[in-house]
Amino acid sequence: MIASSGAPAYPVPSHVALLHYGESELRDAVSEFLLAGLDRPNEALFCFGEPGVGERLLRNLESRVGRDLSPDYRAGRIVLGTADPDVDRQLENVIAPLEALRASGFALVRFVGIVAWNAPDFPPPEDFLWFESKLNEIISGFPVIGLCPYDVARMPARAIVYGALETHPFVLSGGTLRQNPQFIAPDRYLRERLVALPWLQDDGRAAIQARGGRTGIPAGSGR
Amino acid sequence: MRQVRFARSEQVLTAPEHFALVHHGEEELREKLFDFLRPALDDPKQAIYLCGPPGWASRLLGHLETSVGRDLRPLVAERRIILGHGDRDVDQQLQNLLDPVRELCERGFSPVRVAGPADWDVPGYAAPEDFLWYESRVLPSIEGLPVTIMCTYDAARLPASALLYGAFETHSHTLIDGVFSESASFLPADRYLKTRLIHLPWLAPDELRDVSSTWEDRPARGRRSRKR
Repeated sequence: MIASSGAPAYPVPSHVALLHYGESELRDAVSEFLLAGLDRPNEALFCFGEPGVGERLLRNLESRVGRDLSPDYRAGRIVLGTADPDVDRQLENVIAPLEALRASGFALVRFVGIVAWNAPDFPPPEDFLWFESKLNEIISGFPVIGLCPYDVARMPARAIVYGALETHPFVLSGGTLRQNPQFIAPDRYLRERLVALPWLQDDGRAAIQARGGRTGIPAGSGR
Repeated sequence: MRQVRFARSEQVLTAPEHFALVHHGEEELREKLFDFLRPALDDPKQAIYLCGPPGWASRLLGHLETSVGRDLRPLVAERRIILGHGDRDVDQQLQNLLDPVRELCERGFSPVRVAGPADWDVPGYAAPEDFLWYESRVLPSIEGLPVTIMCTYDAARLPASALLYGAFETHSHTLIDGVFSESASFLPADRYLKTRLIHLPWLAPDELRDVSSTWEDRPARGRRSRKR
């Protein structure tokens, strides 16, 4: 399963963090991942991200294969999904297409969800981390490979530590797919990690100080 | 092989070891520093070397003194705790680490515990790619010595590239939120030097580099020369 040369051999289902540096590495890795499915009629492609990101991924793919993919899009074999600042709605925006693709009989769905951090059209970081962890439970019921690209050139370190590493059982970096020892299983992540995210503690302390030292409900998503 | 215990957590490491503590902010650093170094204060056979960018060794000592509630200057005076510092020249920085560590080992201390914060692209300190070279050289340099080195990476302050290319790729193990685990991304020194260091993305020629990269916002800086 762990591959270091050629296309990585992804388990199915799997949830993989792609660590990349900048757009060019992203384009190459995502195109390779999606192209492998494009030639197999029983596989579907699902591109997801902030508004416009799915369309951009599709255009990149078209330019890579040199043909118009709108027939596949219209036929429902390529799906474009959009993130939502409300994380419950975002989760629904992922689950509903996965269910539809499964009902259509596709043997495998290649899902790419471009990660954003603290962005206006995206859930807040702590909500997004809940989503990432929850996704492990969700995709266990689908024939899906979920690839979540994290841009090391743009993201803060906390996104990599608490997001890419702690919520993904697999990491793809430098073309090598590895099992990830830093992964925390969803039940533990949601129970222990998410409620103790250090910046929420900092916010809580700051709020207490702002209230003159009186204790109260700390900041946090409450999920 | 020498076992290295922690004060509060149940971790037991085997020296030599070079691991990355990934923490969030100074308060967690203080806690984890205490956990790692306290056993050396209680055992006269153990010694400590503190290092990092200029000024950090004294700062770490201050954290430790606050945690244990006593003045540690007598231990500094007898060189059971040595305060060192990094250097903008990484060959010198490696020497600054190895000289005192070897001195402590030769004086019979075992294990020798080393702690030092990583920093990234700051004035007066090694350039990131030089610092990564240094990090990749640490483990081979302490082979056979009863030494455990904890490099601290602050996720609240450092860029993601410092964590990926530094903490995870140049350390065989990581300590995150009290959990000690293998780093799946670790590259042994010879492989790191041959395959990673020469391909660091921000060293790529301009025409290959993503123009939207955050590095574009930084002042132009050529690769620094080394004596190697």
